[in-house]
Order: sequence, then structure tokens, then C-alpha cells
Amino acid sequence: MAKKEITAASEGKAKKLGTKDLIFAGAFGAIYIVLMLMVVMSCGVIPILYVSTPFLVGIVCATVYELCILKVRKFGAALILGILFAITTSSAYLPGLILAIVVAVLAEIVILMGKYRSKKMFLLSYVVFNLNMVCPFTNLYFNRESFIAMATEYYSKEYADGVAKLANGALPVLQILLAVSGAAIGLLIASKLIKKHFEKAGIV
Amino acid sequence: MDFYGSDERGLIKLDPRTKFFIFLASGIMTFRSYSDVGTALYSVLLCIIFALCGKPIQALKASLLLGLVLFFRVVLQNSQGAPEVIVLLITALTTVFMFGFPTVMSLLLIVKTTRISQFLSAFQAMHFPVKVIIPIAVFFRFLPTVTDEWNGVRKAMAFRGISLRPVQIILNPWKTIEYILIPMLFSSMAVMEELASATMARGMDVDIKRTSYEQVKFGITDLVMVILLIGAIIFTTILGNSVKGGTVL
Amino acid sequence: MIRFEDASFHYGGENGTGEGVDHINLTICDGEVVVLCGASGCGKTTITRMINGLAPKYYKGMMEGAVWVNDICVTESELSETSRLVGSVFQNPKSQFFNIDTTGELAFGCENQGVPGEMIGERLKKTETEMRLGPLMGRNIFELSGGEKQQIACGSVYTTDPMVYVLDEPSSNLDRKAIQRLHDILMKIKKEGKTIVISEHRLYYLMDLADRFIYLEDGIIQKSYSNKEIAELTDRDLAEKGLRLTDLSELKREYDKNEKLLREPILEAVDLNCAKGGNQILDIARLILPKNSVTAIIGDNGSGKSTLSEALCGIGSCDGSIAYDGVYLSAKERAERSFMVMQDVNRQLFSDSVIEEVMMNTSVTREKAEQILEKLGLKEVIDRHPASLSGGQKQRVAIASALSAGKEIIFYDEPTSGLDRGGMERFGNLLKDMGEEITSVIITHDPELILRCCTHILHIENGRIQAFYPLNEDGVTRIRSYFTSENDENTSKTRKKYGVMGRVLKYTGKWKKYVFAALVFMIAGALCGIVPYLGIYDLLCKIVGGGTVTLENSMVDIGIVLGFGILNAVFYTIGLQFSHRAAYHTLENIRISLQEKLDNQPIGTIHDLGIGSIKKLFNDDIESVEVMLAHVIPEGLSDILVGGAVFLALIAVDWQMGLFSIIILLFGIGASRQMYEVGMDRMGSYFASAKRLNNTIIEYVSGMEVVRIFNRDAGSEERFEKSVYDYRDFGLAWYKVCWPWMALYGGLFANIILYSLPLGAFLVLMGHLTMTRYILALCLSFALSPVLISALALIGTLPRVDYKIQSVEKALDRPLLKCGNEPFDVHEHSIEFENVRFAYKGDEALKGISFKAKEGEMTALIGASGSGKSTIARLIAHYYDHDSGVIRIGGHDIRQISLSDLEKEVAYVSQELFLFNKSILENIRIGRQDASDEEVKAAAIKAGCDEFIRELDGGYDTIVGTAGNKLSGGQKQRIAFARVLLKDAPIIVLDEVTAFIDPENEKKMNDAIQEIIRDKTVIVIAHKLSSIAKADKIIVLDKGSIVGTGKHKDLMKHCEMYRTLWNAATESRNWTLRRQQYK
Repeated sequence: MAKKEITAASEGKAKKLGTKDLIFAGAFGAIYIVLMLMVVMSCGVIPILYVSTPFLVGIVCATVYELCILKVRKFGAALILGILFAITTSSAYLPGLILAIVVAVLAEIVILMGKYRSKKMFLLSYVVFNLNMVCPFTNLYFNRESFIAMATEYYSKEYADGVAKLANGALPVLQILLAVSGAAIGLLIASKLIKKHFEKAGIV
Repeated sequence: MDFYGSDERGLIKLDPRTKFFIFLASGIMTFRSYSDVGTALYSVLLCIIFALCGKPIQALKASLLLGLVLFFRVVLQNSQGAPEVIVLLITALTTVFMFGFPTVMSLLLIVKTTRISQFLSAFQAMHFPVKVIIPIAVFFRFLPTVTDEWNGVRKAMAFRGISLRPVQIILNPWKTIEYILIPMLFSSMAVMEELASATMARGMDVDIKRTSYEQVKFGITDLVMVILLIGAIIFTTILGNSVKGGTVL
Repeated sequence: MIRFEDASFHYGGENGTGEGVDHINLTICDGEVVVLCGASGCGKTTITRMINGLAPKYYKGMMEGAVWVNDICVTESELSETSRLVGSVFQNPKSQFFNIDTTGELAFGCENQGVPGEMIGERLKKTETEMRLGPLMGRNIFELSGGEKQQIACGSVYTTDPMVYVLDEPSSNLDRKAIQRLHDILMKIKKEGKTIVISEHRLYYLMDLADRFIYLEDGIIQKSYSNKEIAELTDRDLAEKGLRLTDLSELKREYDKNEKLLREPILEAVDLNCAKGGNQILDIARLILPKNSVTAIIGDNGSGKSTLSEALCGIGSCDGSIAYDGVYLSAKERAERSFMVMQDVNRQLFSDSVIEEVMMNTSVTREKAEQILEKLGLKEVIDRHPASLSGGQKQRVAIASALSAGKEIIFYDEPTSGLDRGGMERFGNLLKDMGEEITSVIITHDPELILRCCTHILHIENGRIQAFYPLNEDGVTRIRSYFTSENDENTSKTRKKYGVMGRVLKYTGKWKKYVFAALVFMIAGALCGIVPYLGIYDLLCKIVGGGTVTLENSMVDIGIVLGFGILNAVFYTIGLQFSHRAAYHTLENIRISLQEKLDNQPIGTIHDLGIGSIKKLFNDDIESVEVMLAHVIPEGLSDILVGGAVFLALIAVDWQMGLFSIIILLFGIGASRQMYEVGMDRMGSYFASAKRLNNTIIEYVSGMEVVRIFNRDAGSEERFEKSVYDYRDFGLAWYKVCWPWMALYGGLFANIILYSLPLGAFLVLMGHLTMTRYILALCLSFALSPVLISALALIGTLPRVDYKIQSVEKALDRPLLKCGNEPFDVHEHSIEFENVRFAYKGDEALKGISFKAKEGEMTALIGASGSGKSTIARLIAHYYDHDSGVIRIGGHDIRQISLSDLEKEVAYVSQELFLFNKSILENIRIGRQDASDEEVKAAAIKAGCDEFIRELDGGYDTIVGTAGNKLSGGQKQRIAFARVLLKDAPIIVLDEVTAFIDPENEKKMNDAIQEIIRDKTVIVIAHKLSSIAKADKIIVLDKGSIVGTGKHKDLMKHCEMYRTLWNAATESRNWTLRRQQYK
């Protein structure tokens, strides 16, 4: 029989996610979520730290995300991570859920733009992806109006004003900034680690 | 490790899809109801369902907690002469609790009383794409493995003198992240590879339709439950709106 | 049929190593069982992958030729197609399953193939029955042991019913029992006519299963052996080929150099009790490991080996004290000085190069690090990333990092599970070399490794030390028989998790409703207790409000106070009644369950536990639970409820004061918590020193007699002093740490009023609080304090109750006697021992005993003290379960005879006689309960005790009590004979019954003995050789082995030991005392 060489290149032509890729994505998703939960739970007690979790999670989880998409290199890896993330964190708040999925799709588009070969695009997509850390907080923002309305009914105008002051427009912007900067720092670490360890070991 | 629950000892057995519906209903209700009474009644209903599904003791604990929070709230609202700030703070906290309670409760209902295989067949019955079901299944299966790996890494760190105290983490963040991530990732990736090859060798293929041994059937209890819930939602939202004079959203 | 047509495959792509197999031409017929063997890297795994399609469909690389399974070209077709024909079981049980529950996993393969649901159900049933998976169904896979997981993996493949089974090193992570089960599963599959291809290192369990052994080297098939051929290969041939032993009974110890006796202890553990998930796992009184030894920890899955190792090296939590080099260390300190090489070495590698890994976090220089790497054979890979190395290399990197950190003790968790022979030998030699500086402890199932490098064996069963012995000649025989004995029961138990209350309620059983009733009444009582305060409040309002208080307008209030006060008392009392009843019934159930457990224990275990400790268990230990269960818990619970109610009321009155009180309370609890935690470490040392003090006192007092007689100090007084001083020092050290917290707690936080009084006054002044409420709040606070204190006591008691109950349960949680339910058809009454081995408390007492005592004959056992005579006698009476070999009574295996049948068959008479506190008549009647008085008296006459019984005050009806003390040894012995005569069992075992013969009774005793042994099968143990010289068979024992059997004449001719004993006996008879003549 003739010689057959089946290498990664020819397989890579297949754009669709295979069983192997789905399994990898699911497993990486588990690692991502566990790490994220660990960070959130250890910081959650202190309110200030709780609000800055987008920053911290970005630093820690960047490597996991990058490894996942580098291993799979197909459309859908980030999306699966995003869906898993959405279900775990924002499942209670429908708008948050949808927003998280939208963010994941955006990240996919960024990767797509790099045609699965440009390292830069891979990295950049995480900056977009980490925005979904802000999503759980969106309920606070979206509900603000209803919250305030109810508060006015419940208590008094002063209280409502107080709440309004707390949850003003500055907070979401601040969190977005935190998410982006956290992702950036995380990506620095990630690229260093990937080069130092994973490429050297030949896994990626 | 007892990660996932089962509904073996429940008096009623609900289809997972019903439980999802409860979850959605709780979400909707939280948004639309502004009445204390309404939310409280709904929460109690959830506790009863939880108890019926096989976890009476936990349901009891949850309802006790609920009772306590309500008690505090009522007391606070009727007290005089307390500093404004504290009253506000505690009221806010209890309100958050009341908001969160139905959602958390229905989430617990899903997680603690359903087997993973029931989940997956429910997803399949709901015609989720295979490409979503498989990662979710792997996700659940991998969670205990990741925690296992993490424990192992922690123990290995103890031997090498790598400390996990907050002080150390703050002093040397980059190194700490590297020490945590690297062994965990390598170890998990090794498991992943073996899992993937074993799974594929046993015939799992994205393109082939899978059957399921676990059957999920929608039964009478589920119907009753759905009707009950719809009624509850209508009741609380209308009651809430009518009592409070109607609001936006 | 599997066909390889000039197939070659080399791994390429991303993980490519370029290795592979070349020009494989192989045909495997249907129903054949083929074993692929060879050193690591020879290509056997690749061949299995070529059969199940993973190469080239999953593992990318260069493929030539084709592989066919029946009509399907596996090389071309998709994995989903191939998996219908070929089922695969992989090496690592942990990472091959997809589901979390076992049932789902078993159905997985079928689900993938699209088999309809009902059919899956049928197939599952078939798998369950055929593979005996009953106890494993419907469980969480993560809870199963490695062997059980592998069973599920095989079952999952079985359910899909493929033509071909492919297994890749399935026995790597299994213990001997699991390997046995795997063998049985494969046998069954073979009988069904399936084709099996196994790639393996361990060959011994496949010898009777395989049709062909295919030996590969460097990717090419070198030779194909048949069963017989490979069995004939000598060990040297096997070693050359890199193959492991084919026959375990050939296990030999490799090195023989003069072993220095390792005496110095490096690790001492005392009172080790570890709990995992609320269940007590370890129960070790004392463990000592010698310095520079290589100890192997063996035992079945679930016996606690990993828990023990983790506790010893400091990463697992435990109670008890562990000392390194004589110094008691905390867990963290131990982790600094020890190391564990885990099964998943990936978790321990942190750096990106080998040299960095070794030098990380240590103070070692680069040269020294390189030296260490060189010694371990890692010089070439010094700059490579650890993750790119092979499994064996990774292991060695971990070891290198331990060496460079200067660790003293290294633990290994199953280090050779995946290694071939060469790898195992290298590892063994490495450990031997390191023995100069490092003490090693290996958890392993690998007998070849043990014999290669270990110096000691530690055998753990069920959380207890079964045996600890050095690996000298005897030890080698022992360990060999351990690994070759056939045994395949499933040992991992489902450990159910109980909380404290769950455990207690388990014993409460049907009295649970009392508990609920108690709770209900107490809650009612607590609530009623609050209502009077409302009445008081009302009164206060009136007073403070400036109104006048008359009897009329305060009637209602007084009525309320009185009425509800009475109600409170009534409810509370009823509640207490219920709770106390429940508590005492629980205690009753605990006692009964203990008694039932005791009933089921082999007599040998009861002997070993000793009367003292069993009495302590039933009396003292349960009593201590009693106080806690009957008083502290019910009253504590009610106090918590009352306290909670009062507290809620306080908050309702004025939440600020309530909140404040909570905060103060929390501070107080925090202080006492802190005190507890800070003192934890020292508490351990303190209790250990208390125990040592106790033991020293006992030793001192018991030894006093010796000391005085021999006028020797023997250092006991110094030891006594030292232990007293130690106790003082440790106690003080503990208290010193606790003092500040105690002061803080007692001074500042014990009294809430200290704070709430001024705060309340402040609030009143500020107008936030009315006077009446203030007073009410104060009253409630007063009520709160005492209640809280007792509630706190409850919290401290709960863990103690838990611990106590668990240790009581565990004390009697020992292996039960293996006996059967077969009705015993008595045809003949012979006794047969076949290669019986038995170890008593760690030392081997019987080392392979084989003999046959024929029916109706008298067989005598003689030998020096400790040679094993009494052990044999006790084994016949089934006091213990022997370790290996077979004992047959009347042709039936003793393990299949029920205890009651055995008891009717065998009468065991020893020197000790226990008399119950009844009449002598009754005592003799114990031999046979349904005997009439005449029969009893007849037996007594035959036994020669009739005369002295009639001389007693009450004759046969004398209550033994004090009379028992007046009976001499010989008289007691004759009563024992009477019992035996009454019983009339066909097999009699006499264990040194002639010890009490005095000249007066000699004839009578001998006559009695003659009566007893008439026409029976008799086993006699005696020191007096003259009395047994006429025996039909004499067995001479020496240190647990038989050195001679036969009649007296034969033995005198052939057996030197017997001659020596005989001559000594006869000589001594001729000794007389003679007055020394002085000139």
C-alpha cells in the first residue's frame, strides 16, 4: 500500500471542531473556571477586591485561555470557553448571560481576523474575552433603574439618591478598564510562560 | 468526593427541564416582583420543592436562614431612633439576600438533585447542538479532576518550600502564578490527552448521533409544577405591581 | 481476524519522536489471546494503537502498509467504525473514563454507537451479572479504587460486545487482588471466543491465558513464543530481553552482602489517628522506621497506605505525634525535611529545565547539582524541559530535586507502576545506592522491586499495622507467599460520610421520634420562656410611664408571667425527659451493637485484645460517651435554642444592643478559638507526654519488685523523673501559649453586660432608646449569659463524642473469621494441614506446615517453646484465620465450615479453665447443654473428679464462686476433662493438659485422659515425652517448621532433634538430689 503521511498540516485544513477539540475545550474550560472561582472566592470577602476581580482573573487565567486556543486553533474554542463561563457566572441574570456570549463571539472574530496564524491576534482576543468578567456585574447596572424605582417606593428619596451615587456610570467604565489592563498583564505572563515552558516542551 | 447530587431519595422526581424552567422563572420573578411578601412566599415554595426532591435537611436549613433574614428585616423596619446609615446598609443587605435567594435556591435544586447523565440527556432532548453537549459533559467530568490536581500541586509545593500565604503572594506575584499554573496545566494536559484518545477510541464522534441510556420523561408532576410556577409568577408580579402601584420595567 | 500487511508507523507531527514500528507482518486468528512484550519503547503500545485505529487516526505520523480487522481496513476507516469491532482498555484507570457515574460509563460505548436505550439496558444487565459488578453499579467513579475503575473500564468494553479486545498495560496500577480479578475477567472473555491482544510488562498472570507471546525489540517483531517456551526462559534470558518474571514463585532476593543491622530509628510515630472525610482511617499505636532503611509499605487498596505516608511526611493532617530523629515535629517541619515522589510526577515539576528544577529554592551550587544529576543518569538532558522527558526520567528529576534540597526521608507512591524490567532494576539499584544517606519508604505492589532493594516490610491492613519485619531469609519467604496467595475479594468499602449527629442518630434507631419530640417541646418551652418578659415589659412601661401600679391592672401581666413561666417549665421538663430517654436508648444500642460485633470476632482476636482493653471498651469508654450523650448534648441543644430565642427577642427589643451583644460574643468566641488553635500543636505533645508518663509509672511500679530483689536501679528511677519533668514542661508550654487568650477571654469577653449597660444608657440619653426597652434588654442579657456558656460547652463536646464513638467502633472493626454456611457431612474425622503459614502479631509462627492426622489416631506435636505447637492447636479450633495454605477437617476446608458445626466436631482442652459463677453441675454441663444430670455425673466419674466434688460442702450443687479458688490445678483440669467427656466430640485437641499432674493425681489423670482419647482423633501437645512415645505419629517442630515426623522408633533413628529431646528427658528423670560430701 502506498505511503501515507498524515500530519498536523493536512488535518489543520479542517475548520470544524472535531471530537478531540471539543474535549480539549471542555477540559480547559474546567481549568479556567476553577482558577477563576478560586480567585473570586479568596477576594470576594473584601468588597474592594471583589470589584476588581476582572483585573485579578485576567492576570491568572490568561495563560489557560491562550493554551486552549493554541491547542485547538479552530473556530469555536473561545466560544465554548465563553459559554461555559457564561453559564457558571451569569446564569442568574439573562442580560449578563447574553452579554457574555456576545463577548466570546467577539473574541472569536478577533482570532478569525488573524486567520489562526497570527500570534498577535490570539493575544488580542483575550483582551476582548476578559471583558466578560464584567458581565456578572451588569445586573447591578441594568437593574439600577428598577432598583432605584423600587427603592424610592420602599424607603425614601434620600436612600435612592445614595444608591444612585454609588452605582453611577463610573463603575462599569472602571471595571472595563480593570478588565483590559488585567488581561494585558496576564497576556504578558502568558506569552512568557508559553514560550518558556510549553513551546520548549513541545506541547504547543 | 461527593460533587454532584442525585434525586434518589426524593418524594417527587422532576425532569431536569422542569428544573431549568424553575430557574428561569426565579430569574424573571426576581426582576419583576417588588413585594416583600411575594418574594418570601415564592422562596418558601422553593424550599418545599427542594425538600420534596430529596434534600429535606438542607431545605430546612435554607428556610431557617430565610426566616432569620426576614425577621431581621422586619425588626429593623420597625425600630426607631437608629442611625440612618446602618439601617440603610442592613436593609440593602437583606434586600440583596431576598433577591438572590430564589435564584440560588433553584440553582441548588438543579445541582444537588440531578445526576450529570440526566442533565446531558435533558440537553439532548432539548436539541442542543452536540458541539455544546460534549464540552459541557467534559466540563463536569473534569471539575473533580482539576481540584484533585490542584490539591496534589499544593502538596508538592509544601515539599519544595513554596508558600501560599497571602504575604508571599503579594511579594512575589509572578513566581507564584508560575508555580501554581505550570504543574497544574501540565498535569491536566496529560490527563486531557489520555481522555481524548480513550474517548475517541471508544467511538465517540461528533458527526454520529448518540443515544442515551438515561431517559428523561416529562411527567404529571412536572406539568403540575410548571402550572404552579406560572401561577406563582403571575401572582407575585401582579400582586407586587398592584400593591406598589405599578412601576417601570 | 487481525492482519498486519507489512505495516509500519512512525510518530510524526507535533509530538513526534520519530519512533515507531517497522514491517510488521502479523496474523492473529479469531479467539486467540496474544501478549505483546518487550522493553519500554519497543513498540508494543504502537501495535495496539494500530489495531484500534488510534494510529494513524489520532496520533499523527507516517503510516505504511495496512492493518485489517476482519473486513475493515482499520488504517483507513474512521474511529467510530473501528470501535464497533475493537474495544480498548487503557493503562491509566484514572483518565480513561468519560462519565462520573459507573452506570453511565458502562453504557458509554453503546451510546456512542447509537444503540437504542432498551437494548443498552439489557446489555448492562448481562455485563453486571457476567462480570460480577453488582456492588459497583450506580456509584461515583471517583470513589472507586484503581482496580475497581479498571473493572468498570473492562465492563464498558464488554457491553459493546466487540470482536477484538485490545488492552494496553492494564495491570500497571493494580494490586495483586485486582490483577487476579483482571485475570478472571480475561479468562471469561476468552471463553466467549473473543480475540484478545494485550501489551504488558507483567507476564506472570497471563501464563495460563495467552496462546502466544510476541517479543518486540526496537520496533521489530523478534520472536514469537508459545506458552511453554516462554516459561522455560531462565531469569537471565528474561533480563536480557527486558522481560519481567513469568512465575512469581521464582522470586529471589538479589543481593546478599553483609547487611548491617539497622537499629537506629529515624522516624517514630505514636498514636497516629487520621481521619478523612469524617471517617477514622488510621489507628496506629506505634511505628518505628530504622535509619537508612528501604521500607516497602504493602497492603490492599483502601487499607490506608497513602494516608499513612501523607501523614508521616507532613502533608496530611493527623492526630498523634511523629518524631524525626527523636524530635517531635509539626507537619510543616516534617514537610521541610521529607519528600514524596507522587504517582503523577507532573504535579511536582515546576521549572523549564532540569537543572533549574534541581536548583530551585535550594542553596545547592551548580556543580553539586550537576553531580547529583550525573549520579541519576540525567546528565544528557540537563537543559531539557522536564515535561518532555519520559516517565522514568521525570521521576528521577523529582528525586534529584529532593536530594539537592537535602531531604532525609523520601517517600515513593507506586514508583514502578509503568516501568519495564530495566527501569525497575535501575530504580531499585538507585534506592540501594542512596541508602547510605537517605531513608526511603515505598508504597508498592511490585514484588520484584521489593526483593531487589527493600530492607524492611510494613504491612498495613484496615488502617492498622499488620506486621513489620525485616527482609531477611524468613522475610523473603513470607513476602513471596503474600504475593502468590490467591485472593480476589473487593476490599475498598464505600465510606459513608456521617456528621457527628448522623453518627449518633444511627444508633438511636427507632427512638428518633423521641429526639424530634424533645426538640419540639424544647423549642416550645424556649418560646414560652420569652413571653413572661413581655409581661414584665408591660409592667415596666406602666411604672416608667409614671402611672400607678395597682394589683388590678397588673393582674394580667402577673398572670402572663406566671402562666407562661409554668408552661415554660412544663414543656422544658417534658422535652428533657424525651431527650434523656433517647440518649439512654442510644447508649443501649451502642452497647448491644458492640456486643454483637464482639460475638463475631475470632476468639484469637479477643485473646489478643486482652480482657483489660475489652473491659475498658465496654465499661469506661462507653461511660464517657454516656455523660456526653445524655447530658451535655440534650441540655446543650436546648440551651442553644433558648439562647437563640432570647437573642432574637433581644434584637426585636432593640437591635442595636442585640447587634452589639453579638459582636462582643463573637470576639469572645474568636478569642477562645484562637487559644485552641494556637495550642493545637502543643496539645499533641502534651497528651503524648501524659501517656508516656502513665506508662513509665506502670513500668516503675511493676518493676519495683525486681528492682528491690536484685538491688538494681536499672535506670527506672531516672526515667520516671524524666517523664515527670517532661510532662510538666509540655503542660506548661501548652498553657503558656494559652494564658494570654484565656485572660483576654475571661476578663474582657465573658460578661456581655460590661458593655451593654453603658451602651444602653448612652442610647437612652441620646433618645434612641426608651427606658422600658432598655431595662427589658438588660433583663434579656442577663438571661443570655449562663445559657451561652453551656451552649459553648456543647460545641466543645460534639467532636469528642464523635471521636469516642468512632474509636469504639474501630476498636472492634477487625477482620471477621472466614467461616461458611455449608452443612457439614461428617464422613471421617481427620485433620489435614497443607502448606499452612500463619503470622502472629507480626512474627511468623508457622512457616509452611503440612501434615495429616488420620482418623482415630493420636498425633503428638512436640518441640521447644515457641516452635508453633499451640498455634497449630488453636488454628484447628479456628481461633484465628491462617494466612495461606489450607486446613481441612474431615476433608472440608475449615473456612467453609460454620462455626457451630466446627464446635461440635472439635473439642479443645487447654490448661486454662474458666468456671462460671454457677454450680459445679452446671459448669460441667457446659460441655453439652442437653445432658441429663446422670450423664453429667457419669462423665465426672470417668474424669476422676467425682470424689473431690462429693467432698465439697454442697456436692455437685456447690456454687463455684469461692470454691473455685480452693480447687487445685489438677482438680480444675479434671473438671475440664469432664466437660470434654460429656461433649463427646470426634476430634480432641489436648494442649499441655498434663502440666498440672502431681504424683497424687497422676494415675487418675492418666486414666481420665485414656477415657477421653478412646476411639477419637487426637492431637496432643505435651512436654512429657514419655507419655506420648506411644503415639501413632509424632511431629517434631522447630521454629515454625516441621523437622521430623513418624513413630518413636523412626524418629530416634532419623531425627536428631528428637533424639536430643528424648535423651534430655530421660536423663533428667535419673537425676536425684544428693548431699554434697565435703571432705
